[in-house]
Amino acid sequence: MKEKDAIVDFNDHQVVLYTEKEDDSLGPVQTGSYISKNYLDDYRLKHKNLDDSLLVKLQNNEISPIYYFMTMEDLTISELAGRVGIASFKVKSHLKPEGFLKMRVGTLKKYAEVFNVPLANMLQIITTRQDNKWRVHHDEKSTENFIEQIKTGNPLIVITQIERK
Amino acid sequence: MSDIQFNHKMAAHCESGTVTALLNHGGFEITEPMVFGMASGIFFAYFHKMSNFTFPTFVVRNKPGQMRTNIEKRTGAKFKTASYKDPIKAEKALDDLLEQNIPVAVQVDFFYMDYLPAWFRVHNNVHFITIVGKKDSKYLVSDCYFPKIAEIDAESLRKGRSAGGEMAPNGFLFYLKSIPKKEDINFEKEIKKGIKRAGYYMLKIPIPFLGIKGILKFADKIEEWPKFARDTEHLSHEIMKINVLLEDQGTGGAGFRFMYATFLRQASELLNDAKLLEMSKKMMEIGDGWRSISVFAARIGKNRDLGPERLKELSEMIRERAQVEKVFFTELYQLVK
Repeated sequence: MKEKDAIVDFNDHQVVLYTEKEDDSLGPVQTGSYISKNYLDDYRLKHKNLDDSLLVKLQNNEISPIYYFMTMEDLTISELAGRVGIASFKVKSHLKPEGFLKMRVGTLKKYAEVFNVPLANMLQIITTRQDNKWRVHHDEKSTENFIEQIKTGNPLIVITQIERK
Repeated sequence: MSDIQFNHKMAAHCESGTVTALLNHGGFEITEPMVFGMASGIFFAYFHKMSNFTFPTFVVRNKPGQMRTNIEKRTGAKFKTASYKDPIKAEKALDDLLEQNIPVAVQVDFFYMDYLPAWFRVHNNVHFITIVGKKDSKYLVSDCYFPKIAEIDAESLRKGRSAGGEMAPNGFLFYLKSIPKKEDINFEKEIKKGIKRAGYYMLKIPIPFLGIKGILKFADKIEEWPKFARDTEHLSHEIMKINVLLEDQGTGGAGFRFMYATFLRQASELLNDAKLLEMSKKMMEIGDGWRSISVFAARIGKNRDLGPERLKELSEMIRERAQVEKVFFTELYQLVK
């Protein structure tokens, strides 16, 4: 691949590729990621669609928060079990709402650490009126918000709605 | 507080990049392609069903850790290694080394490296970064996949270093202990050993999903991928991940084939070997073929054009890679036998 064909203008995701230079030598070039520049929006759309469909199931008490986060973070049962430090059959039971209800808080805390979310976020869905892209990792800073708690069909799950003034 | 003057730069791949950076920092000048090639980094393995993967997948390099151990054998450089199951002991060991101004490579789960964008981070226990200092409660990180020195707080680094699961980091760290004199290294012998080992793993290893057999397995099995997908969008995501695995996850492009071509070019110049130069050109062309697969996978995934005919077309492209690589590695192996 020629260096000129490898160059992509995308600062948010840089990679190093090895290419043929103009002088025929081979060497590294730091450039933007081709797939991120051209397909990141599609990735985000698919991610959002999956998120939305799982959140509906979560609110309808069809799946547990463990199932939600495990799927969103692309982990298998055995991989999640290894990370939390419990047996796979226990993780399997925690994927269902009735199994999740029997879980100890200490175990829930371990799951939250693996998923890298606050424990409270295992039991709530945070959204805004403008769009539902607001998630715990969202870094938007705002000090003027309304917060409303909305119950769902799942007795352990509430929606925390945050709205700007 | 440490004061390590570390020359950070991005690299093609985390393990080869980290090993190269530590060697260079220690005064042993070597390029990343040379490390990669001498350490027999090039490989292929296809995993159709594994308990730690949610979907069929493949890898294009040798087992994590082997680049470091192989480059030790090839050059005589020595790395000191240690593992700590206890995160507090792991942190203390790291801090003690930083106090001595020693840059330290650590193994982490990529997911917790929060200086990277959230959409970029996945659970992957075999990412290597170099810790080059500590400022208050934040560590200074030289990550090959990030354009500048990053900062990570102690808690995030602790999570990354103590993650469980397959190939768990277990607080693993390594740092450079000693370097050899370049004049003491028989580069011709060691380069050929590196090539021979890579050739063995691509051609001769008797396991049906490894090496050339692995590429063929991939070609065969990709037409079955739809039955593993939840829906079309899931299949689209996994097909497009082929591009990520070949180009973006840290390979130097085309599943490490471009970096291997560069190694062969550098080896040909070092050894004044015209045959290796010829093989370098061939490997670059092979890489171009893999790049075509990457672009094709991204396009059909985006367009949701994932019917049997399209997957068959993709399968044929992959099968062709297996055929050309078999010819290539057979020729290369004969050169160094």
